[in-house]
Amino acid sequence: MNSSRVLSLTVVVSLGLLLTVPLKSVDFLAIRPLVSANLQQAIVAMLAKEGFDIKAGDIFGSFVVDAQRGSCHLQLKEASAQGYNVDAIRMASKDAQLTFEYRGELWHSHPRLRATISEFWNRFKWHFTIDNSFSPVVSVAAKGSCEIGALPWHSIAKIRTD
Amino acid sequence: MRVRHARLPSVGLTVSRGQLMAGLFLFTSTSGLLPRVINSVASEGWNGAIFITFNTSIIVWGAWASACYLALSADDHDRVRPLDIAIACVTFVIAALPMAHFSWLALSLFSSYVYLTSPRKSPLQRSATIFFAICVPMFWGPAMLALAAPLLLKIDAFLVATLIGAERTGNVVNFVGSGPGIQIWAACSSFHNISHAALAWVALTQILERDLGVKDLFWCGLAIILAASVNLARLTMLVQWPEYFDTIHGPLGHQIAGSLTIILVAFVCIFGQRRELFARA
Repeated sequence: MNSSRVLSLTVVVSLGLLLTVPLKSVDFLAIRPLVSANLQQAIVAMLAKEGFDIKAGDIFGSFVVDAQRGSCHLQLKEASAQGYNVDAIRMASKDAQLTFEYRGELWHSHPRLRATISEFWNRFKWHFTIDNSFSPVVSVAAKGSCEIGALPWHSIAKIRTD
Repeated sequence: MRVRHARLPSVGLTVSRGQLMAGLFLFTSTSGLLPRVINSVASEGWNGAIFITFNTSIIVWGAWASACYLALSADDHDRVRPLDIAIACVTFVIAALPMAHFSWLALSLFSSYVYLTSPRKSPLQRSATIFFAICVPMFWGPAMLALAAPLLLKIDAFLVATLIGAERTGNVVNFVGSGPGIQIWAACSSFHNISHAALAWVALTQILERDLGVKDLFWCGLAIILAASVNLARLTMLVQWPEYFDTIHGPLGHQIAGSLTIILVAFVCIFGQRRELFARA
């Protein structure tokens, strides 16, 4: 290919990049902490409304919410959609009954495949500015007599980025 | 020789097949890489972004440059076929979608098409091979890792725990002695290094215009094993010496492990193909 052809090709490709790359460069990772912060707020609000005493903290940059109501103690953490931290969560909740909240429902095991595909789909919708809500997975470790099925999990089923 | 060009009716452009293919290779691959460059400069500044090679392995940059060179030096005499135009339009539409993942998906599909429809060992076919190989560490590898994370991360944890005799639960390896342990996340997995080592080998074979043979399995396998070993050694050091966790896990440890991986992979790739390489020099 001669140099003038290469030059004209470069101009056409650059024009295409100028039109398309700015939208691709919106950094999803930059808004991920916002989803976690909003999820933590939603969890705290839900449990406080249900009469729990709340203690919120964080471990290695991820939030941990401890909640106590009578003899029931709950510990809630955000689990990654791909289930990277499930083994660590399991180890930390040895004596507790562990369940996972996803889309307002409780699961006995981490819904990895659904959550992974759903996260990709939610990112897709977020990039297209169709919808800015995400459905995080939350681990719920319960000790004592807790009726966790009765809690309004639907209130944390969808978390918005705004 | 007279150059036969096809006229694209809608835009009035006269292009050869080689130009159309090269243009789309450049567009799809650059639209996948540029967002990483922009985001790394935005978060780290120019100096920091250059230091971390724009959050993209130097092996990927080298392979990309060689694939672009081959695409641009491709034969310019072939005529565009109707199917080429249809595939080019589909590729452009997919690559233009506002997520970098779609650029890699488009590049995978387009490079497969170019590979299948180009003359054997032509610069365009060799370029297509490298572009497809680039899509593995940039898209398919991380996608596979996301879908098969529990199994793949457990393999990493098993190897680290076995090497050092530590306790393990799933992808968590306990520190030697007592206390908590490390949790192996996707970003720390040795499977990333594997795809980078394979990409380096594939890129060099295509530049040297070599046919793949049994000896490639040995040398490429050796590059992969060495690249994975560096990562496993780093993970093992984290478990063995938790007091140096921040140094080993932080930017310094990352740079040392990354540089060592590149040196070892480059050495194996060059040594394994030294005859062809020095015959050309």
